[in-house]
Amino acid sequence: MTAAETPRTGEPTFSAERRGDIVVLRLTGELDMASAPDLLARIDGVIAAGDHRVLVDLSGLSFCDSAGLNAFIRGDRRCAREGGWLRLTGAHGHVARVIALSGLTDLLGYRPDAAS
Amino acid sequence: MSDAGAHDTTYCEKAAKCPYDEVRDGVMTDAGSPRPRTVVPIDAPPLLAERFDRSQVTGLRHSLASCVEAAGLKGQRLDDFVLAVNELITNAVRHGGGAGQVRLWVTDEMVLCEVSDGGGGIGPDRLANHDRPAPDTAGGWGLWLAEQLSDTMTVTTGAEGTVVSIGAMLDPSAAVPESVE
Repeated sequence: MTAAETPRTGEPTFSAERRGDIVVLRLTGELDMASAPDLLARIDGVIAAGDHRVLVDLSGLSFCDSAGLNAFIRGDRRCAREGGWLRLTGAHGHVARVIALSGLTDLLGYRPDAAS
Repeated sequence: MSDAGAHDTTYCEKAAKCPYDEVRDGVMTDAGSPRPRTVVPIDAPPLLAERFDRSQVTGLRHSLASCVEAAGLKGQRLDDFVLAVNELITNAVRHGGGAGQVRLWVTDEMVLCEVSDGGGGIGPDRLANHDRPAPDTAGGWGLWLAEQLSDTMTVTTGAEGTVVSIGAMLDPSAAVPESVE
């Protein structure tokens, strides 16, 4: 089977929900160099709408690579420019492993008390 | 034994069980000998051989995962190896001219994967740096993750392109002990 014949079962989805002054962005599927630009576009959309506190819910995410890590870091910078932040929550399995390995758990892990 | 700097220490700790060789073209071709296609001495035909470009990264990862799982890698080690190869493919697309080739072999002991591209090569400073990027750095994670998430890694790079070969032991308990009394 060639790569072109493989179904794209990991097609990511993004959904946003407001909780007070925080926008929760829920991801599903796989985050890689093909889908990471979509995440950044969603974050830009949140900022353009006047919000700048983004909580990214990774509980439905099954894969995250360096392109995903870069998108989290860039997203946090863009929110920080507006006085806000981007934080991560709900990572599990291999996604949690990659985030911890890269040191992003300390940098972008969501701690409700500290974040608010 | 020469003094080891911070980078060298990282290198040696890794090299004790995970040889990570770096070869620059200039060194390899001084005598006019052809650059070896790969440092992995495998005669068998690859289990998978695919050319790829930007549009095929996700699908190719799925194909690789199926092949590597069928070869016997399981659980976290399977996920680690698939991510490591994914990083090499991503690097080839981003920095290696936008396309490349991936080949996968399985031996009795190991799964081996080679990703090659025709880009301008990896600079010596970048190649010598085995430190984890600062957590707030956007970029530079790919090669570091690939090294962390594989058992062996060999980089051959130069002006004509880059070949990275990584391997994972099928039975990690059979790996070389970390220290021998």
